[in-house]
Amino acid sequence: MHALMQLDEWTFAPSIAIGIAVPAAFYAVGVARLWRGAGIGHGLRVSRALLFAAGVATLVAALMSPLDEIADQLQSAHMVQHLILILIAPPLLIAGEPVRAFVWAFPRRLRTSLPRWLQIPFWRWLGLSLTAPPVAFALHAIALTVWHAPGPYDAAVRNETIHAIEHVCFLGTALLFWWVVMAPPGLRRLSVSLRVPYVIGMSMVGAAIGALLTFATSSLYAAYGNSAAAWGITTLEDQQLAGLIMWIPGGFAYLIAAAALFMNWMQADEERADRASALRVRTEVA
Amino acid sequence: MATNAVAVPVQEQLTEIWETPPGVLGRLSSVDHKLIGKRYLVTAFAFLIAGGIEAAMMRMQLARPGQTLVTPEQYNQLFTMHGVSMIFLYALPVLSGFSNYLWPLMLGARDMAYPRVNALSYWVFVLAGLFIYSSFLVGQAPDGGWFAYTPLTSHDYSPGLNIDFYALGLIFLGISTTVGAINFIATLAKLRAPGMSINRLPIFVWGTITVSVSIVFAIPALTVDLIFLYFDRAFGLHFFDPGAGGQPLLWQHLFWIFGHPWVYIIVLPAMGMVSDILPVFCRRPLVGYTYVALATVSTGIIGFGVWVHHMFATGLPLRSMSFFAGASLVIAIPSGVAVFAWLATIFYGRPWFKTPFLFMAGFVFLFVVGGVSGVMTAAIPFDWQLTDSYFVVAHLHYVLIGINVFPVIGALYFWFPKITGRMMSEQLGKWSFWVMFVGFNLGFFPMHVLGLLGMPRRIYTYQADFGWGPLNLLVTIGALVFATGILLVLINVIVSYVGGAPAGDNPWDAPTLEWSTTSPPPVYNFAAIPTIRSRHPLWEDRLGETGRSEIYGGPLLLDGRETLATSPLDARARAVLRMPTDSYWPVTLAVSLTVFFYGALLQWWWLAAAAGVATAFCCAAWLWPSEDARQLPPGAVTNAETDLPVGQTGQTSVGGWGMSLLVLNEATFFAYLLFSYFYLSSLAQHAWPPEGPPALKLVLPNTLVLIASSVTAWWASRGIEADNRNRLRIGLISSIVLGAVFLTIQGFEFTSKDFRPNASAYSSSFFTITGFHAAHVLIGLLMLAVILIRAFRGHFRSSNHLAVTNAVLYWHFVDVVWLAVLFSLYIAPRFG
Ligand code: HEM
Ligand SMILES: [Cu+2]
Repeated sequence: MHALMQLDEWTFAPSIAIGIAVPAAFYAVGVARLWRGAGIGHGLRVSRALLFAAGVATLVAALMSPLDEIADQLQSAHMVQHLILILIAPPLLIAGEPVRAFVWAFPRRLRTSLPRWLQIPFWRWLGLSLTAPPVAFALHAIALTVWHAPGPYDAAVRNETIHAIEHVCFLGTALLFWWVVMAPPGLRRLSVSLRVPYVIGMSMVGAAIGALLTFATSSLYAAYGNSAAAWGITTLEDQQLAGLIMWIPGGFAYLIAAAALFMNWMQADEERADRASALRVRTEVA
Repeated sequence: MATNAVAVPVQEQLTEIWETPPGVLGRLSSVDHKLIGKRYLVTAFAFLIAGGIEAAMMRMQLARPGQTLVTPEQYNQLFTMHGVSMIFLYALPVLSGFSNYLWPLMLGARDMAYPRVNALSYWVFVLAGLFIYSSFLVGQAPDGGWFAYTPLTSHDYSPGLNIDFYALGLIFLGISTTVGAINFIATLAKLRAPGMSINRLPIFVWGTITVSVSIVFAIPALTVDLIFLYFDRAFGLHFFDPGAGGQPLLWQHLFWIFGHPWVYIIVLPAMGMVSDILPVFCRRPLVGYTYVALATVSTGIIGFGVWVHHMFATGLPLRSMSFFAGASLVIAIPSGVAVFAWLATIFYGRPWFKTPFLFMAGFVFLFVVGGVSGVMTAAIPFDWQLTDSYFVVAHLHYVLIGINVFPVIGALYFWFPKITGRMMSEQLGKWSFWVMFVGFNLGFFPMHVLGLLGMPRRIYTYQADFGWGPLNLLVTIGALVFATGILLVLINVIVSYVGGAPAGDNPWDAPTLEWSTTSPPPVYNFAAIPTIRSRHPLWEDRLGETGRSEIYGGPLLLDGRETLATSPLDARARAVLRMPTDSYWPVTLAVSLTVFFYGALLQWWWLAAAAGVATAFCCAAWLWPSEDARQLPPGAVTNAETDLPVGQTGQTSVGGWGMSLLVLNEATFFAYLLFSYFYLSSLAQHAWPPEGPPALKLVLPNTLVLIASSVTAWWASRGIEADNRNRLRIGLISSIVLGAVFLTIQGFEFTSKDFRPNASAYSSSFFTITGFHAAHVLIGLLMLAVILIRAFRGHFRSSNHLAVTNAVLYWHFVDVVWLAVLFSLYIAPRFG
């Protein structure tokens, strides 16, 4: 069985390696400079740095480990790869407070002029519109849906460059999507009560795609040919498995995120209410 | 008690403001949530009795082998109507009744957010119920089981009116459920008393809000399904017809996408009641409040994920079944959290063995038993053995009676004193509990055994030599004992209503806000709007809370029917709301809808069309603002007591919430339509679409027309924001003209097709989807037209244009739906 022998083969595409290494290096330089000045764990907690590192590690696992090879033969493995890109890596990366680390990666002079750059109207406009909740939601939903249409999906499996574009679309829009609910306090744009429905809404998009894959009675994608047979399952079973992975474990990932956001909301709410509800009543009227 | 902290003349003044006109006619117009809640309760119990009579007839028939009390056809009608009555006409409405009555009292408001919609929701409920029951008059009651699987229910196999009553009746009922749910969501978002933060809400409120949100997303799946069924039957379409590319399984998918959440919808509020009532009789707060709230919400969400779990026996791939079995087991986690919270509350409390406590404790017991048999049906091989056996009937009743009926009866004992001002008899109460509890287990536990012995469900009789006779007799006896228990409850209700001991404000010494009013509460609920500072406003001293709620010293709001609008997040007082007065439009609208559905049932299209026009007219008349409302635009005056503006406008006002929720609900409706389209296409055996992708030459320009109409609508609404009334009028006229052009071109598009809707499953979905879109364009046009008329009458200003914003929002929504339709029906096939 040819396919099974590749389990320990790592892939090394320069573009992907660079794409992962450069931001990781940036982060590392930034954190190093920050901690050199302020002491380890100051300005950015150690746990944050570890989360970011875990995010980078999952990216490596998704894109460079044998999983990537298997993903070219099994649709279900490909789905696992995608779920890492949209559900696991982005929250970890954002939890690592990358913006803070990146800022410190710049030399002092550039760093001080950075705010001025960011004030340029076009950048402000772009940043604000991409992180507007409906926009981020729509972009991510569209990326997920369109790339699962037979035409684009087959093209990605057949052609490495298109595949890389697919993955950039997934990761990029997923970062936007999770940023909306996880951004640092000053930058949050979605009120705390709407974060739970926001996340659950996306799980429904995933469930719809997963359900259609699960229930299709013929293979929707031609590019895999018959490669699943080497793994002892039919192409159709492979597709059903892919659909189910998206639907059920994927759904639970969103659910866990929603539960965390819910607990957050409950805690935030009480203090707010006491501060806000001081209602002045003119008793003389009464 | 201390209600007298507010002066008596003030109370009299408030009574005069809020009272419903006397007499039957006056009551028809009433919008008081307490009256509506009581009506809901009485009506739901009436359907419980009707369903109970049907059950009794079935059990008499099955008591001995080979009986002939009813014919097989009648037996089919009996179990179907029993299931439909219990699931749709009793289980949720009874919870809505409690919610309607209690929500404003628990939240510190004087009514629900949309009092007239509330009235509508009740009238539609009762008329839809009567619509379905009227099938008995012609001897053609629904007979396809409560989930009416196709192809059994297709026209070929069920030619009578039976299934049409079912399909149309449930579509009709869905309107009531949906508008009711939207009302709860808006009420929670906007009408909580200041300081009522979300983690101070009773768990019952959490339960109801969770199911209300679920309803907004679940009911459209059922509606789409029923519309397909009706279209297949009435017009010969092919959604479920395998001969023409349809899929019978599509019915099951859509039904359980709705049905699985529905099971949680009819139990979560009941579980919430338990979480609120148990602590009162344990004399301590609920253990793990936050986790119970989280468990409630996540159960509601999980309900949407695992619908396929009902379809084990349909031959779906085995591997997928193990995923769903696993997922179904996960639901045990939140349920487990709740069970531990209840047990811990009892354990750490000092139980007080009153009747409500008995019912709640009995519920906890049945919940665990039902959970175990549920886990068994979630395990696949077991399910194959037991599907469609009496084991399922046993499981179903343990779940539904255990988790719905027992808490509901307990809640009745608990809140009856608040609702009527009189206590129910304790002695009779305890008797009723034990009779119900023993009868229930006696009647329903042996059904498990019968299932294991191989007795199928839905059989009208059986042979003596199967050996099922003795157990069946036991089941019937148990069922009659159980029914006697319910009868005792009803006797208790009547006797206590007439001569029960006076209750006083808070007979159970309960902690929540509704117990701070008199029993029964005054029409205006609270003489002064309270300010909340803890989860247990009436237990603050005893629990040593740091905050102290202010129940009697708040604003009185005496200028007409008024209550406070607060912000959704932190319950900060934002405005004083003018509440709608009593009105005849809700009942009129409900009646005209009834006529519409009878028209569709009998296929008297002229009648349906006339009723459709009448319905549109009722809507417009309902929404037409009163003279007063126009004289007093939102924010024009300031309330002297609170310095808050009177009235509110904009997207976050009560009206804005309603429109956004309606749009969300309708968007879900279209999402299910498109999901069905893709489902059918992914299973299609032949080319889909049969004659290649549909031509773009008409629709692409037409899309531009529709987008242009959205631009002009947007321009119009920006105009009125700047107080430019000319721009408003010109923009609206342009949008209406463009919309009419769109519809005309769509007409050409329809006639240009050389296939008819009844040609194939593809043509059925093509015309149904585009047809529903066109219908929504028409509705949008009517809205714009009404707005235009109002614009010419000078109703709008920059400070007062919510109706414009809402109509324009709806119009944009219709256009966005078109883009989704265009993409799915016209573009996607080109990438197939
Ligand atoms: C007085 C108590 C009740 C009795 C004696 C009873 C009895 C029965 C019987 C004999 C059947 C038909 C079994 C068959 O032949 O397949 C049945 C079905 C059913 N019952 Fe009950 N029931 C009772 C209360 C309830 C309640 C309170 C609910 C729901 C809240 C409920 C929901 C159902 C449902 C959904 C079905 C399935 C209908 C179908 O097969 O389509 N029942 N019940
Ligand atoms: Cu990929």
